[in-house]
Amino acid sequence: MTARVVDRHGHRPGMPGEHAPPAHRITASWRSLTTGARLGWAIESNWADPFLFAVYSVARPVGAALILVAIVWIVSGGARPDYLAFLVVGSACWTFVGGGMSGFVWAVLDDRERYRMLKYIVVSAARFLPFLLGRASAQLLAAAAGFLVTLLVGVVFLGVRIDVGRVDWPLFGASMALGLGAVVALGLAVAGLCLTIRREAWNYPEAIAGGLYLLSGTIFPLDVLPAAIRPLALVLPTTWWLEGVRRALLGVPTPGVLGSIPDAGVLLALCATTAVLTLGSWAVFRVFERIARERGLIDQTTGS
Amino acid sequence: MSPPGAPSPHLPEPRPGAPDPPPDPAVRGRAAGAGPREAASWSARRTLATNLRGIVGRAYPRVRGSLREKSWVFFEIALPFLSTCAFVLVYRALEAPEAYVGFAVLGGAMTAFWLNVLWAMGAQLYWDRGEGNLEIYFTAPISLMSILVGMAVGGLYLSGTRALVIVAVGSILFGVQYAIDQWLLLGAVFLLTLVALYGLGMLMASLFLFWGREAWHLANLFQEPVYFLGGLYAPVKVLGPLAGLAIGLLPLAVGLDAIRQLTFSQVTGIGVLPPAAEAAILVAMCAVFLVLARFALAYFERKARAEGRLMARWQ
Repeated sequence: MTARVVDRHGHRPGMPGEHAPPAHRITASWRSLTTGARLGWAIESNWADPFLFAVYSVARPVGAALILVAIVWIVSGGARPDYLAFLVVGSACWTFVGGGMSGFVWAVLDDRERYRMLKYIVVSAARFLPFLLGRASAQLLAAAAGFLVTLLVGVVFLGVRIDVGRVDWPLFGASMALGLGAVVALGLAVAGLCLTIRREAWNYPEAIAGGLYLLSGTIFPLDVLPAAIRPLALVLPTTWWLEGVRRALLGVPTPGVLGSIPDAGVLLALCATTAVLTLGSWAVFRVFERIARERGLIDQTTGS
Repeated sequence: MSPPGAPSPHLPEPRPGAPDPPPDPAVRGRAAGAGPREAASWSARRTLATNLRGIVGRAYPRVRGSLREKSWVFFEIALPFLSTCAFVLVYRALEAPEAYVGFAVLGGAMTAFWLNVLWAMGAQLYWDRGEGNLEIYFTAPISLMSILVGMAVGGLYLSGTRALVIVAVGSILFGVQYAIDQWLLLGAVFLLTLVALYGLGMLMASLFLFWGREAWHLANLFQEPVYFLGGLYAPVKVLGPLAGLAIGLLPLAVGLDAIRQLTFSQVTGIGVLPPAAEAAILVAMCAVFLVLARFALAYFERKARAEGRLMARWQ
């Protein structure tokens, strides 16, 4: 049975700084965010010289995109430039999903099991949630490099037509902002879950990203999915994010189910699904964080 | 201090005619009164038997534990299967011939082996160092090659069962039709591919051990680019001039190319070389990777000992 931690007045102790004035909380949150980001970036990047790190950051997403390009080439002999563009944009965007989610999970697992610092962060004056956001942001930054290089490879070597002058920048900016928000929210929920489970949780981001990859129409139009699964794809923010970015960069909607929906409808769907996911993820994180604190799991080590 | 070999002053003198005391476990296996030098000189039979026990001992936890952690079973099957489904749907979206769906299923099954080679062979000694097992391996009276062979045998069983599930489920779900004419050659190519692949894994183990913390990143780096160069989801022939490089370097590329030709004999013109020639390349790869692994292990072990890296965790 789990004992609920209460102080001598019968109140549950809150998070550090929970009862501080809002201005102090904002300052503390910002400081925790930036400290986490600096720390995360140092851990991510200090194992190699900048060139090797850059190669590492872009090799995976470019490799993943090239597999798809090879498939298109062997089937169509290069006669499907529209599909090639669809694939390149989808693959480029997907670098954020894998990186974003695994950044959160590794932040929890590494700091808890390897560096054994999570307990100190939790009991310090640092705010845990902003710290975690900052700590995971390093992988998002590395993913941004993968995103840009994949698009560049697509344009320069594969003939994907992205005309910078014709890109719908407002749609692109809004789609990216909301889509990345959804990715971060998803990562946060998985990180919360990881607080309560063993280190085998490192597999979770890949499994979740793999499922979403299949359902979000990342590399094929939604019409290819079995009809029973298609509604599930339509409630995922990642589906609308990819569609918004594709429309902004390529100037044409994806043929099929999504093709008849106007740009405003795509943005609205993206807003709604992201909002639901963000609220849900925040609640999930808080619930699991509370469970981890109450059960004393913050400093558990399940490996060496 | 008593001279070596003298009876301990704390033990009673044996009575004349009394039976020999039971052997001390600490000196079991060596002749009574033999010094450390004599004790260290083992017969070839004994060395072989101990190394075989080492192989079985290292393979055992992998075989025994293959079903123990249920979440691992799920992830090891589900992750390659999800990728396979995604690529199958791309082929369907492109209205490719049905045999291409089979290419993706076979590629998905082979990813189970590649992931195992990469993470459970290549990066394993690095993990073992972090966990404190590496020092036990070095103090055990066996060759480190036996440890690696044990890891490979256990890993083969582990990923073989996963690959089988992926092929079975993928073939049923997507209705893959195989056309196999040369079963014997197919079996030989498959086995040679696995030996060459795990030989490469043994070579990578020593390299990763030396590279230390980069091992993690390198293992990550070798995933998607190798899927691409190895032709896991699309025949390697499509790579053009790069196909030659892939066939010459990656056992996965040459093995899968031959396996595809032999399992989909109804589809012509997909192979870089005839299957028999690719089998010969695999034989050469087996020899080269195993010999290289042996030398690399000895070299990096010596170097790591000199630089004090063997026990240094998280470096």
